[in-house]
Amino acid sequence: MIPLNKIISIEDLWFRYSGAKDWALKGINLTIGQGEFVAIIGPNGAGKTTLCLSLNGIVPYFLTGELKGKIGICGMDTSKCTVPQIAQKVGLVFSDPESQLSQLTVEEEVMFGPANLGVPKEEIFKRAKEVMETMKLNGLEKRPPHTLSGGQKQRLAIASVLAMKPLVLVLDEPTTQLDPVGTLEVFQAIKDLKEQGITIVMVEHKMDLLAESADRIILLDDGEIILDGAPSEVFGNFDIIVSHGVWFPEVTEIFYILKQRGLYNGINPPVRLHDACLEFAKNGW
Amino acid sequence: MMIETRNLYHVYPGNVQALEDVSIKIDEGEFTAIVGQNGSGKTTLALHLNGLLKPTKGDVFVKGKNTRNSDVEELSKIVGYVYQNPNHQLFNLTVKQELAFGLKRLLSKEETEKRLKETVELFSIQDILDVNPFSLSLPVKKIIAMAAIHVMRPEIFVLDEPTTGQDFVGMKLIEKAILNVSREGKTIIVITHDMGFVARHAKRVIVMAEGRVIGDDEPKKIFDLSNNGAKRVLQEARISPPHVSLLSYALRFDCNVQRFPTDVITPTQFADVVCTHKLRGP
Amino acid sequence: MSSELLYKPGNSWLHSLDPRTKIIYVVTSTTIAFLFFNVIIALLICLVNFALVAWSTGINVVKNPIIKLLAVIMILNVVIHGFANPAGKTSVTIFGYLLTLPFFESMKWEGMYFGMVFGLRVLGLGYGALLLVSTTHPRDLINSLKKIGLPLKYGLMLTLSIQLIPQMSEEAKMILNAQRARGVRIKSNIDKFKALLPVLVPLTIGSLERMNTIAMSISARGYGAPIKPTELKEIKMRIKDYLVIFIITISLVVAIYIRLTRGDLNVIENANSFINLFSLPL
Repeated sequence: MIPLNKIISIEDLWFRYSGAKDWALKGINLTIGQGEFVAIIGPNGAGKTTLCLSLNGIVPYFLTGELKGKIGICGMDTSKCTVPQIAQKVGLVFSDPESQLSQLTVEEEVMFGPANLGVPKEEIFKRAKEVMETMKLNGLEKRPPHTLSGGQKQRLAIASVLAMKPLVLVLDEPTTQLDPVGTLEVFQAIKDLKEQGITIVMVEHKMDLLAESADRIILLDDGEIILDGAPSEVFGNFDIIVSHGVWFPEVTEIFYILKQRGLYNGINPPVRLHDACLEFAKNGW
Repeated sequence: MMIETRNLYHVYPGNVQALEDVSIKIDEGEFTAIVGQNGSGKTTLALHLNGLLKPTKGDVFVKGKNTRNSDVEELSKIVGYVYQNPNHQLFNLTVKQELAFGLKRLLSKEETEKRLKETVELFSIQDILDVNPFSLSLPVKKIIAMAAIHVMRPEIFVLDEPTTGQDFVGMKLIEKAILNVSREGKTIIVITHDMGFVARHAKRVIVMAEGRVIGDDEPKKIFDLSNNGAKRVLQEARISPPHVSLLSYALRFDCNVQRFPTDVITPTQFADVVCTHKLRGP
Repeated sequence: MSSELLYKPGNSWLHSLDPRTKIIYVVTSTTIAFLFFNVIIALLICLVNFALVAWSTGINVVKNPIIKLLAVIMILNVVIHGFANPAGKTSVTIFGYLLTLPFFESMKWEGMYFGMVFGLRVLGLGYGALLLVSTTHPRDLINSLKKIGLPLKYGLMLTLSIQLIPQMSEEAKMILNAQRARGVRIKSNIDKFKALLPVLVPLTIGSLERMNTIAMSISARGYGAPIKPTELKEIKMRIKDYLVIFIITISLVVAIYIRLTRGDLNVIENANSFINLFSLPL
């Protein structure tokens, strides 16, 4: 039974790519409620991308292999649906922008997704204008995507998926080629979507920003979920974090160093700027 | 002086003004970070250093040579440029071949072996000499690309976004490699968006916006938000300082911890301040 | 940017015609050229197309590589047929000298005529195709092909293939620059070829892999969903299109009539003088 009240429901998911010896995902159990902003962190090779791709059916439909367990998204069992069907509800932004740009101009790229979903023409033009505005792509409408810079390509990839107005938005490292402002703009856009009730799953390495915006952090390593909880819970597990190839937000790192020097022994260190500020001010420092 | 640009202007075809009146001097052994938004001219500036771009107006001098009169092959002996995407730089079948590539024509066999040994040790890549570079993960590829440049013993290293797209482990590997090279006395120029990295390692930060240099100082001063000048520079360049700087600033101005020092930019420095304070007593 | 594509944006009359009209023109004019074995007709069609290309796109007709290529094909045709075509009977004499090649007999008028007709036909088709491609944005071209029956799948494949070449050439440029920065001398085209050779395989594989990933990502954007996709761009035939098609049809009918009643207008039965060669039998 796929529980309908949880928008994402993964039960005991095991996945091994065809021809691979090791399992990429080992017994993943994950439920995500509507409107949650879940961040997935972990070292390279942990299975984060594989997990993302299983949220829209690419695993196992295109990237074949052995799959055990159940994946339920928006009430659909992904093993019984095609990728385009799932695409009506789930939008996925791949980590490499080049591999998802296929049209001849920027505006066609943005309109491609909604056009495939049969959205009426007027609505498509409206959405295209909105997302290009949000992703600061104005003025680039007629350009061929391959002439854009890396950062522009990444923003275009995100815009193209946003134009589909998915219920679940999955982003795999969407800010690698963006400058700090571009990154902040993406995070802001995502926060806005969360306000509108969209469920967000994002793989990222920028811990400072994740700590400020995500509701929930999942640490994945070697195909397994190691930690799953609120940012301050997860980042407070200093030893586990360090031993699984990730790091903390800068402000939390301060507490880590203080702990090592014997000056701190709290269990839920602040992870956000504001909270850290209060913590230090409170202690009269 | 290693690098000097005098009133450097660069205009791309289609009248795109990428650099405007850039005059900077970089000394031997300095570790400089160039920061700024995408499109601010960072990469354009860097590409002038090994002659891949020639000035539209003004001059660029590398170790006294004017880049207008030198070609890329010559300048590459002094300036090693490590691309953001290592896939564009690696093309041999094994790591060892990749490293030896540039040396074959220049040195004798013994000298080549000696240089290879030194570089391999510096970058700790003894175990992967026979591996095909393309099969390696991104951070390791970046290190191989750096090693392949290091083997040519340039005096200046330009690294374009070395930590982008890396996970924590990869980032540490690359940081270590860069620091090792810096310790050899090489001049390092890093183009980056990672302000944490800049705060931890750079001795000098050049801030660019819209083709101009609008800030040039040590990281402590550049990220000091209590200084209005620094604040303006950061705003104009549209970059934000490391989170720890934001925290120091917030402590002073939002939480009224008046005596908190203004030049704390890394977690370690912050922790040090807290420790000293604690030891002194409330 | 758009110089990477064959398409040259513009406001000429030809730019404003529906792509289908232009396709019909190219097909018909080539058919007419092939209906007749006559130099004048082939030449006329060739000149008309050439003039249309030059006028509507402003391509530098001297430097454009495609035009150069076509010119080479033309010359080759004349020379090869001149020497080797078995219809050749009358030798060419220039100031009393025969033109000869080892292993071949001397150049013959009839052969040259053949060569000229073949060559001009190819040239006419080439210029016609160039006309079509340089005055029509690839997207409109593909859309119009879809409208006349090209399955959606192939239209998408065409869209992807068109981008393949510019993408690969951008990558190749970056790789060449990276190699220059490693001290490799790359000046002539042979150097470029040699430098790209080792990366050719990874580059091609990379592009093919990217194609594969794009197929996946297209699905992820709903391509193939159980819904009728929205038509975004309307391509409509207008009065001028119908007018042009009308003229073209009339020309074709006339041409067919002439062909049926007067044969293929081959003027070379036996060439003895220049006048004979260049006169149309009436």
